[in-house]
Amino acid sequence: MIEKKIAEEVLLRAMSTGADYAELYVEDTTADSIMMIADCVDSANTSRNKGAGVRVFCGTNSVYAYGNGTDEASLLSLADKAAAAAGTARDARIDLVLNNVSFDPLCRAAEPVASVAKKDRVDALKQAYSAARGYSDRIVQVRAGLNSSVKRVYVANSEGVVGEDERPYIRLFVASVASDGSENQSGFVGPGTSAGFEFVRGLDLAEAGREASRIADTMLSAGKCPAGRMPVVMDNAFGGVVFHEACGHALEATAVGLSNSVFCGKMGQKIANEKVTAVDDGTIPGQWGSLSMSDEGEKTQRITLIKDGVLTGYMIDKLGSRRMGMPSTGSGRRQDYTFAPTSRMTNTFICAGKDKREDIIASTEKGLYAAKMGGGSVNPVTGEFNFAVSEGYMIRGGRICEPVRGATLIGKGYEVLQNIDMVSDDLELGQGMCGSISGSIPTNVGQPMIRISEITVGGEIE
Amino acid sequence: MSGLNRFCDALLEYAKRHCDGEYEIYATNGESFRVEILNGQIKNYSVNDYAGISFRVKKNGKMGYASTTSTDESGIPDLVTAAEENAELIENPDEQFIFAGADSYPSPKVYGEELDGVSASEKIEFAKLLEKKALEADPKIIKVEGSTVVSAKNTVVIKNCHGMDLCEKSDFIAAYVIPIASDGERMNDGFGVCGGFDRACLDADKAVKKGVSEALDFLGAGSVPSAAMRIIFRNSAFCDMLETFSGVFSSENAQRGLSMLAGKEGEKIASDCVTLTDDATLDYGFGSRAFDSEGVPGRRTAVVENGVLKTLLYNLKTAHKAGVQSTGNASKGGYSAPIGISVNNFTLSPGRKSLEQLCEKMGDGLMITEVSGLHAGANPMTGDFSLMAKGYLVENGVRGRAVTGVTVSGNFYELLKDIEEPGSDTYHNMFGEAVSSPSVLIGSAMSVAGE
Repeated sequence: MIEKKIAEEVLLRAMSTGADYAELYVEDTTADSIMMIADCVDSANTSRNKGAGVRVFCGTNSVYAYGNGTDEASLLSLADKAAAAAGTARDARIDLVLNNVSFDPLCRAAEPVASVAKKDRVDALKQAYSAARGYSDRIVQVRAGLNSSVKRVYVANSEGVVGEDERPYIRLFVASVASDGSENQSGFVGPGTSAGFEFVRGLDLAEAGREASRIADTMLSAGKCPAGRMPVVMDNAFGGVVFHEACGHALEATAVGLSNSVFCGKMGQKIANEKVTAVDDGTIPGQWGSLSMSDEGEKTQRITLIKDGVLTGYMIDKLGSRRMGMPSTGSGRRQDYTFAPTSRMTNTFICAGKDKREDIIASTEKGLYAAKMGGGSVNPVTGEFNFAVSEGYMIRGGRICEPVRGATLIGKGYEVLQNIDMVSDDLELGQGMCGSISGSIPTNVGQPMIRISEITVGGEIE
Repeated sequence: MSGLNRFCDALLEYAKRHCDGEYEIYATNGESFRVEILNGQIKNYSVNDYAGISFRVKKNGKMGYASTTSTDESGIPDLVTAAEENAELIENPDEQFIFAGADSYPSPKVYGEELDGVSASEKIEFAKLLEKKALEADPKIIKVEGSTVVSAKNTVVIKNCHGMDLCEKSDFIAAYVIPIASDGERMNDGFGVCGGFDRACLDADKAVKKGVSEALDFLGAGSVPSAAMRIIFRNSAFCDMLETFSGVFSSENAQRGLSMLAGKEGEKIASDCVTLTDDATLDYGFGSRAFDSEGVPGRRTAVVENGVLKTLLYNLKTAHKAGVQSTGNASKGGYSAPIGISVNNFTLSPGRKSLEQLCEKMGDGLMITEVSGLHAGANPMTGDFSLMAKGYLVENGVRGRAVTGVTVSGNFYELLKDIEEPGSDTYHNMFGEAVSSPSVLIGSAMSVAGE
């Protein structure tokens, strides 16, 4: 994307005031979105977002300059801005030779969305939409969308690495609203991946649409969830948001590198129940959270975060690596060039265990079955997290009973991890968008069905 | 800026020659600065300038959008073609509008001239001062995260086929500090912020005092037994609630069946003491602007008066559909997004009692100072919320120990009807939507889940 000579000059200029590392990141992303509501296509938008950022390190301090221009003059100007903030001019010039590094393409579009006529994309969206809309009389509104993008990334750094990546993304979302005249309830599905239109062709679009409406319709008949501490059985796939919030963020160098995490200094210690083994794996081909190349030009890895309950790994970016004195795990990610990268998650999940789903439910005397989770958030400093249950049922006497709504689960990450006492064998992943200081990025969460022996459920006081 | 203007003029020229229907450009251009200090040194430093151009065009009455960040004029034909292709996909029969402009516009002050003179090194020194003061405030403050100063300058330009040519410049400076307290075993963070349109708004003492007291108060704070409790939402926490649920006042949501306030204009939807106003014309309001994202002049709108819903918030499309006038609430969630609706400066009118007096009135209950998980645990479509919360126990009318690890649950539509009394301590939300609110005392007990 950038001529080698220009990249070399940009990096040298950026380091000319004493910085000990420089990085040039250039990005060119085109995105399309089509949205339906009220039974018709309501909006369609195409965007092109192009820009560059120059980052330099002085020890563990970082300077970042970015802008829209990607021509030579603009890039050199970014380098000068970064250098000016990093220190004062000096004469020494470093030798720098850039070498292309190739990265195994993990995520490829077999059928690029750009090659699919927009009308055909609309037809696919309509299949999901009409199935959602027609689910029952109580479905009063559906909003559905198809978002696709291709992100071209270029990274060059003063370690001599040049890498490029082209990342296709596609995601369908369906949000249904059910009403009985006086109350509304909603349901949502959002399958996606890093691939092309073949993903949509392979989806059972009608089933996806129906699922969003099924959740809304079921929750309309649900009573309020009782409040208090109780066992919670969390179903697989998007149930993994628990681990993501309760543990994942606190294992990023973003927090650990600054001693802002409850898991600092706990390597080798037991931080979870021994049934818990969890990984962050950016190398799974064709997955929503996967990357052939990190946003810092490194290979992504499969990082074992927890093995049989023991902390065995953190997610570390280049700056985090300096702060922690540990090698980078290729975890540097950012939303786009308007953010400097930091360590982030990719596909993060609790691995399959040995228990059986049926046994988990059957052995729970009274508790909550969280069939579908919404999102959540965490404070890595205190370990406090929260997440929303979007489809829940009471468990009584080992059986799934009436649906309940309005449950939020809260707690401290390190307590919840100790309280995971059953882990089934049916791992699945779910797509989401994760927000942090380097912006919003696609990540997978995931887990098999698990049980937390005790957690605070926010609901209604009976 | 001149590169952007040149591009916009070239785009208008091209559109004039090639487009049958009406068209409009919405462009933003600006620069921003951010410095974060750690241990007296610059930890992160970021500068940038950026531009974004969004183009929309009507084809057979339907509106399509396309945007770019490149001011290279060779990209113009593709931009226009993409927007027209997108217009062809639209099926919604609602009439869309490109505004011809108004005769007069308000001119709220949104640009602090003084800020141009605040140099990068002044900002760096202020960030250092925040950290220094926080560390000196108490021996339990072991470190300070995010001693940060951010500043930004932004220009919005709207030009269209009817000759409407609007431009508004705004700027802003803010600083925040996150002191971290420790008792040797546990850590807790607090957050303090200050900001506005001039140097005087950079008040280190105010930001540090709040951040430090929050970090200390909640260190080792425990939970409470699950119970139905009387609640006071402190001002900043209620701002967050109002911001999360502000979409219930959007006519677009109402018309799409996504707000339960649909068809309720003229009806009582809140208690007598609730008056909500949206005002784009306030000088130095964080959400003020002379014109909305369609170029409709900003104005002051009484949304709820003494509990009665006077009007929802409208843009040109939804207003036409409802047979009323736009209220100047057209907005874009980012320069490239399609026109939607949002609040400008959304204010809950204050009452007479201080926060202490509200506590006295409540007697026993919980004063919630912060709610989190709003993006997940609150559903503007249904009004339901179940949120992680922290605050202080109130016993016999007096603020007591700090409380954390609880959730508070309810429904926003019910909450509006259950506000017993607003306080006099208005807080202005600086980030996100510009919502202002005093602390509020809720009438009935609410579900609090804890131990």
